[in-house]
Parts: sequence; structure tokens; C-alpha cells
Amino acid sequence: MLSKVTAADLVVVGSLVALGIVLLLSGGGDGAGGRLLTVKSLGHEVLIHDLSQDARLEIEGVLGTTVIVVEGKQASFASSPCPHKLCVGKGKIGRAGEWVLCLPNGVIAEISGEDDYDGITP
Amino acid sequence: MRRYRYLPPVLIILAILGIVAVRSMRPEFHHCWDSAIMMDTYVEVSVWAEDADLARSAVNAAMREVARIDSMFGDGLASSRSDKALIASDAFTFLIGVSREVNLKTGGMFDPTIGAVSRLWEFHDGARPPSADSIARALSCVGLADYLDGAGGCEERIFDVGGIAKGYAVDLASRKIRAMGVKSAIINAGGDLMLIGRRTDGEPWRIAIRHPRRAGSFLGYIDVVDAAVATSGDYERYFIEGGRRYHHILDPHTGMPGTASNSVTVVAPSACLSDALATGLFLLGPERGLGLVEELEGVEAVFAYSSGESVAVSSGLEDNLVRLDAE
Repeated sequence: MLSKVTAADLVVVGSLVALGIVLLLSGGGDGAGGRLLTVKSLGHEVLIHDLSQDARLEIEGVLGTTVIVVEGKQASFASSPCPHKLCVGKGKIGRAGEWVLCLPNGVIAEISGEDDYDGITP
Repeated sequence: MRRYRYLPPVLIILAILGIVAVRSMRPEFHHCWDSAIMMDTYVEVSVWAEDADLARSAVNAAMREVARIDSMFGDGLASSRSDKALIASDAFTFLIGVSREVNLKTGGMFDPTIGAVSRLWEFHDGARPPSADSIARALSCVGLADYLDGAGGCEERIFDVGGIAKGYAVDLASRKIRAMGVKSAIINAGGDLMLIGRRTDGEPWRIAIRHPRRAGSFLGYIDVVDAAVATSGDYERYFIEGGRRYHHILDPHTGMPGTASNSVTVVAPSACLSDALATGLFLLGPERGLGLVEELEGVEAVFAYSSGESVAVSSGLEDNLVRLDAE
């Protein structure tokens, strides 16, 4: 059987192997593309959290503690020491590029990662 | 013939290898970005460039420019009595010029002298509408035309240029970036967007438009190249009392929140213009608003109304807007 292997057979097999190697090295798709929640306080990055992990995050700001809840791959400000709680009223965010800001307390939470959009209207 | 039986698959394989080789020869872009709380909101600058130093320098230059405007305008409120230096500045004069143009085109629906009414309202849980008397008193000092004509009868005018000043900062920052040769960037000041050029893969920037009533959902998306995008929506800052929504986009004629729209997304050549028009068009509503948009070169808009269940689009976006809210 092996004696029937021709040069053409070797070219085909070799090409398939080369193709496989090239495709592997060129990297296909977007990868896992997990989203991250980055929280800053007073301009400084205080933590980066994997959005897929539920958590209760307490962040110290100018006025006191802002509590951020991560649940079901979404984040929201549960409480904040600001007078009007506009940040709490913003609701849940879960898409890359979305953010919530507590201006009086100086705390901001933003989601980064792969997404279908380059920007989101507020 | 038999010896050529492998020719077709070999040719296909070589073609695929060729395509992969060409793709791998595309230039690599460096992505640099920075963000900060400025102009009373969150400002982000993202730059893509083949030269990493250029990308970083452009980001820094843009952030410095926004910081400069922030130091001038702060929260965007200016009193004719106590902020005379600001009001006399070239920057403020420029903003009044843009405001005047939009004020005229929208029949007075965009009016930066509305500050006296704006500061009566608060938008949070438990807030209540200000009294009719206080609104009426404040309205006596609202009127850009009166201000420009030097009409008296008002001891102090309060200008609210926060929104349009954000757009101004974005425009100046984008001008810096373009002058440095950057072809791909996004500047975002609290939702006032400037999309510079295209994505590095040559595709347009894809901007999602929030659904005004379905939290976490999008009404649709549009593809944008080299333009500014701004949205005014009644879902951004509001409270509900007696089953009625009171939000922050106030009609300068009545001092009350406008009801003609739920949201308007405007695409325009500058962020300053898109921001001012978003407010004015929101208050005009889809019927009158679209009529105006069709007269404005380089301006397009998407209106959502009737609790977000109806959408009206200007002609330039009809084939662009992709709806995502169909049930």
C-alpha cells in the first residue's frame, strides 16, 4: 500500500498540515472575551472584577462607601452616600462601554471587554 | 487525467494560505486610552494608531484639552451677575453663537438662558416639581433673543451651557487628535461622542442606541464615520409622581419637561451642534423635528416616542438604522 504513495499525495498532506498550523497560529475568533468591571475612586483604579463572578464590592470615596453589586453578569450601584442617588437610579449595566458614575463620591464603575458595539448612547 | 486529480484541492489550499498570508500583513494598531471625571461626567479618549507614541501623545493631548475647557466651565452654569469674565470669553461667545443658531432653527426650543428654571428642578427619588409660581418667576429671565437684544427686566440671567460645553470640549479635543494625524479614535464625554475616521479594520463605528423604556435593551444601532453623536432622553434623569414622568429636558417656553419625544439621537458634524440639536429636537418632537433635520446638511436623527414603541428616522439613516427591539 505505502509504495503507492506518490509525490502528489505528499504535497496534499503536507499542504493540509501547513494550513492547519497557519490557521492555529493566526488565531481564530475573539477568544473568551470576558467582560471586566473596572472601578475607580478619586481617579485611581481600585479594583478590576470579573463580571461573571457575583460579588458585593465596597468602594471608599470622598463622602463614604459606595456599594456595587455584581449579579448575573451585570453591575449596579446598590447604595452611595451622595445626596440624590442618581447613580443608584442608573440601574444595571452589563455591556462593554457602559458605566455608572457617582460624581459627589468620586466613584466610577465601567465595563470593558469584547462587545458588538463601539459606543452606546447614554 | 489521474496525475492531476489532486490539482483542485491543492489549488484551494494554496489559495487559503495566500489569503491568510495577506491578512497577516495588515498593519498592527496600538490602542491607547485614558479616562477621567471632567465636565461633571465621565470622559474617555481612545486612540488607535500604528505608532504607539503617537497614540499615547494623542490621548494625552485630547485629555489636556478637555481639562482646559473643564477648568473654564465647571458645572456649566454661569451667572450674568457673578461670572462676567467667563461670559465675556471667546469660548462662551462661541457657544452662544452656536446656541443662537440652534435656538432660531428650533423655534426657541434650545435656549441656554434656561438656567434659572433648570436649577429649580431636582431629579431623584422623592423629588417633586417646583411650584408653578417659582417656574413663572424664573421664566421671566429665560430668553436668548432678549439677552442678545439687550432687553432689560431681568437682574440676573443664569446660563446653562453644561451640555453644549461638553460638546465643545469634545470638538476641540478631536481637532487636536486629527491635527496629529490620527485616523481612528473615539472621544466620549458623558455620552457626547465624536467618532474619528473608521475602525482599524476599515469598518464604520457601530453605535448602539438605548431603548428609552426597556432597561438594558437597545432600540437599534447605526454605523457612523467621522461624525458626532449625541442623545437626549427622558430616561437619563427623572422622577415619577402621580403617574407622570418629570425629566430634565425642559421646554424654555413653559419651564416643564417636554413630552413630544422619549429620546432623540442626533448625528452631526460637530459634538457641540449634535448636543444642542438633540435637546432642541427632543422638545420639537418627531414631526416638526424631522422636518427641520431634513433641512440641515450633515445632520441626521432617530426619534423614539410613544413610550419608545414608535421610531421616526431621518432619510439619511433609513437604510442605516438596524432595529433591535422587534418582539
